[in-house]
Amino acid sequence: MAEKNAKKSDLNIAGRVARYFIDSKLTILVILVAVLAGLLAILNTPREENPQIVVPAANIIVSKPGASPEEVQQLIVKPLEAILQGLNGVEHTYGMAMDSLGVVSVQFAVGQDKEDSLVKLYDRIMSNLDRMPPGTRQPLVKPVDVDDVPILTISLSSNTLGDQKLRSIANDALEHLRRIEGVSVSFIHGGRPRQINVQFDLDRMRNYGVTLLDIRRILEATNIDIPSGVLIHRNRVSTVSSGGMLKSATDVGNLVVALRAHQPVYLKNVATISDGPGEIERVYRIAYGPAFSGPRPADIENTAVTIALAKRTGTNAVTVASHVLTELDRIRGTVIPSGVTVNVTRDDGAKANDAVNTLLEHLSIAIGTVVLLLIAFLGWRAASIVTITIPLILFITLAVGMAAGQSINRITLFALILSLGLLVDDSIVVIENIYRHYAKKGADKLTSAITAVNEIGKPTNLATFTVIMAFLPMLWVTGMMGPYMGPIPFNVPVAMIVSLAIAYTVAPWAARKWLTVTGGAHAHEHAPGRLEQGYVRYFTRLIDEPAARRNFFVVVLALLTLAMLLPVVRLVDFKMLPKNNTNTFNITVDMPEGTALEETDRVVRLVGDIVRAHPQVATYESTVGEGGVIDFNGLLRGAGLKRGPHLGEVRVNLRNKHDRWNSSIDIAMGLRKPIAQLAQQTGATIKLVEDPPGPPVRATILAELYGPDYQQLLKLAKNMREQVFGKTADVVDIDDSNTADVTEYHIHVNREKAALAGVLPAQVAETLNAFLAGYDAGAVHIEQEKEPVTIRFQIPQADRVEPSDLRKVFFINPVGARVPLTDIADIIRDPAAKPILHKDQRPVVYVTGELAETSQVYAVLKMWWWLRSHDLPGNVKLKQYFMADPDTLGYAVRWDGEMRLTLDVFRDLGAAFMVAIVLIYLTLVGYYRSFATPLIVMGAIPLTLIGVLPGHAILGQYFTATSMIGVIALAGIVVRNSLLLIDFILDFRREGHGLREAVIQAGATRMRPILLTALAIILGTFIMMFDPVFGGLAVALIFGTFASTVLTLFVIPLVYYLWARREQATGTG
Amino acid sequence: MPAPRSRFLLLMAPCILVVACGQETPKPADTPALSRPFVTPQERNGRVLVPQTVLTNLGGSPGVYVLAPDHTARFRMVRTGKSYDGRVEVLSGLAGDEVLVTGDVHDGSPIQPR
Repeated sequence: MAEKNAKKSDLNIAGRVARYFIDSKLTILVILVAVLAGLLAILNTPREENPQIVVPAANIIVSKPGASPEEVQQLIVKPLEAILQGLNGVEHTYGMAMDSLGVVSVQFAVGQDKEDSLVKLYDRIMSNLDRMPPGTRQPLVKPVDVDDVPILTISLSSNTLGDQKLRSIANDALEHLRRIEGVSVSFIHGGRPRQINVQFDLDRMRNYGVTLLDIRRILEATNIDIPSGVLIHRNRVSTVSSGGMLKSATDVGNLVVALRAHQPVYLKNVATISDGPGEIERVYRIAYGPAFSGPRPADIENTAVTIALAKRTGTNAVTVASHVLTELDRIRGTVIPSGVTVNVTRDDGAKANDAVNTLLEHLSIAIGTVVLLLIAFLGWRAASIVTITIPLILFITLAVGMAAGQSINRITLFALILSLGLLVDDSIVVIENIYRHYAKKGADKLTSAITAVNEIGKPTNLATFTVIMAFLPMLWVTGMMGPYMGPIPFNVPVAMIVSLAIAYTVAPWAARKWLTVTGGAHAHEHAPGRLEQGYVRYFTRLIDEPAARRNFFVVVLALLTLAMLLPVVRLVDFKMLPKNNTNTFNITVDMPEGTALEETDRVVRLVGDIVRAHPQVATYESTVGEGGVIDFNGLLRGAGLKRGPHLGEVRVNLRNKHDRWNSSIDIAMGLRKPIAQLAQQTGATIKLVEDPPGPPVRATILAELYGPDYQQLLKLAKNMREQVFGKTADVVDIDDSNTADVTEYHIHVNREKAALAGVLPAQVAETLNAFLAGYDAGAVHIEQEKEPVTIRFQIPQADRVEPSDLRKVFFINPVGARVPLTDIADIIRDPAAKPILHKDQRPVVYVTGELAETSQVYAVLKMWWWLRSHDLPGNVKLKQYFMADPDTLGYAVRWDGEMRLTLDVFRDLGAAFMVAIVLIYLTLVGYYRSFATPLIVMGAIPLTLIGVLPGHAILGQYFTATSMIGVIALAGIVVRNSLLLIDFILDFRREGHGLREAVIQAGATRMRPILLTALAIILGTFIMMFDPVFGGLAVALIFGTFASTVLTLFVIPLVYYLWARREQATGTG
Repeated sequence: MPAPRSRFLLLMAPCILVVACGQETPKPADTPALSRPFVTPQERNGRVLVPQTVLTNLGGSPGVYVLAPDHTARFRMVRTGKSYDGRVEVLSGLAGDEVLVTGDVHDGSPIQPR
């Protein structure tokens, strides 16, 4: 009894845990719970393609009619930016001062609470309303919400029905679809709503002496119906309402607007009234490419209306999308007539599901290869025990993720694949040691297992914690990359802790059940293979011959130096993240401002012709007059605000990536040349926008020009565009924020003449606005109509072509005399004032560019270098900045865009690496109670570079942010290897072996398990190598593990030997 | 850069090849070329005028059919202004040197060259 007690107190945590679980029924329960929780997590956790990045943002729109861009800048944009900059959590403010309108976009820091930020923003604006300059309208705050990005877009198209009918069908369909649980924002994109068009005939108005003002007043006073109260009679209450609501176009036409010679003048006498769609301001179409397999309509391009649906935060995109699509199928043929073609053009649910399923499949392949490896090394009995633990660990990790509110996304699964190589280690070490103990003479199944676990408990704990230490600092990566990469520092440590727990509970329990006590048949342990013999032979030479040792160190150092030189000679290139193979990309068409809708439409159709020629294109959706349905990338690029007849967009949907050979990157590359030719022919700026693999940026290369004079900045931008961007290789889609020169007709009201004639300038402005831009004078009341049917005043297109058409406009002054517009105003032709952009309270002009295939780092460096030694025309020397705020006293350029993101990410990951190393060091110092030994253990970390960098060079892989994560992970992994080596040396020495003997034996004994774990990592991560984004991580891990493992086996014991020998010498002498 | 294709593809490649060979990419308009009269717009004082009859409406957009270099009729959206006895001024959408196709055609219909 006493002996047993003593033994119990001897046990460390690992031993005690193992002792408790080894023959407990609880273990079975643990397994059951883990399996159930895991299955639940796989089925129920919301799936996404990429982790959600929360960036609260809003646009504040303030209009001040009549103010020039300069005025808006001074009176609205600047003060508003200053007010908002002071708000807590605001990262950037972007201002835009246009004619009569100021827009300030405020972007909060990543990860700020959305609701809190918006409440603060409203509060801030409301409390500063008194500072608004007179004549400004109430500011409008429009939140830009990532959750409002549609996950599903359904295109309804038909050329026979027309866009108005399509829109009304879409409205009916939307009513059904948005009832589905989990759908949040939904809207219809495209199609003109029904309205009552009142098209004035200026000649007849003059004849009848009716002015716009009269008509408006009468219409507004007529089109009203209000409850007037109740009548009570014979115990009954009847409500009374009164008014003369207009219910149809005929009602509107029969409105009496004036009396002439005692005869009523009806509205239809002075205007043409029609019930139907309004003027075309935007056009939406869909067309089919060669990869489309369904039936094709007779026309190439077909008028389309898109139903867009977003999901509620936290719901599963996969289920929401599939429920909506089921409902869509149900209402086809009834709500949606059979003549309407239905295409689902965006389905983020299916995309997420596909990404997750593909990776789950990859994960199982990785598990399979690791299991094969285990069988080869450990034999099937031990291997099967470890195999059982793998899914258990993954299941629990997924369940923890679900409980923590994470989603299953690509990054989560990559984190699991990454941790796969690491998490088998703990179980392997435990099983191996139990196996070793069972092979001893007189082994008892129960106690031997506990002793075995107890023995390796401490180093295993430590090794696991060093890996966790390596990953944890990554949680503090800032910017959008933080939440994007977030699942890695969350899931890997969780998986590691769980693997430790399983190794101490389930592994010994299973070992006791299935491993057999061989009792003295030392088949496994004391049969050093050829590998070990070779190792011992070579290693002994290194120890005994100083010359060989020196040569060895020289070779290692030379390799390290050569590896470090690879990035310098550009055999390894840096890049933030490579592009991904996707199913869709965007082409934006930006014609010079002032281009008519029809001309833009012509160019967009030409773009369509180029796109349609590609065999992998399934469908493409063209939008003219505004952007397409917004996506996450567009949202952060600020595409949502863009609108105007000179803008167009073509969303290209490719054949599913599983069914095609070429990646979307190659397809986009192939299209770039014809598109660039078209751009040159038509004078349009056409950009191919591919979805970024990571966080989106406004442009890959973004040069922000700052300086005291805005006109000079615009000139600089032009020079920069031509002299710098245009002359740098591989820079494509070059653009700047300057707008084309547009002529403007300014109706200058002569104040004196107007006053004498009795017409107020405001009357002039209002009338002209209604005639030219159109004016909504209320709505007719039609029941059953899902959208308001507005009454729109305008003069017909044919009557507003040239400034001379304005001569027909007249006013009636208080004495009843007619005053023609031309009597009181002059029409002046000027160039229109250009908008002024701001960023963080500084006027800025942007020059942007994309990279066709190479990394932006080198293009930017090249331009940076060029600008350092050259002046721009006009002897302007630009001061260049990367991170710091620019000095706006002189002219300066700051390189933002992906360059900034890259610098930030590598800075953060570098810092995380440093912190990880310090943490590992401190942990090791605590463990060894020595300052020098941890340094030897950590000597393995630089050795990884000998593998990582040449690995990237050999495979032609970019050194990306994921490669950097690989390097950080490697620090944890290799420390674990050398730690086990040093631990064994210390153990051997404690057992009384000599230093030389201990050092040699440690390597030989630990070689097998070290190689096994290294191979597990290499094979486990192998599948990741084919992923364009995470390939870097895989390359870093595979080559880094390989090189460092091989070298660690020699370098670490050798360095330890030399150090210990010196210690002994100084100690004794 | 290594070609980023998934392992799934490597396995599926033979199957896809078989499927792809058996399936011809369908052509959008595999109909015989139509014979339709042509019209050219007139230019008068910088105004582009077209006969009222060539104006059509496709899915709600007003436009005309223009003969494309590949001998197909392609829809072109136009904005019209005033009409002068049977002729309509095109405010935007046409440059004035196009050949217009009249009669019943679709966007993309092959047209017999004259």
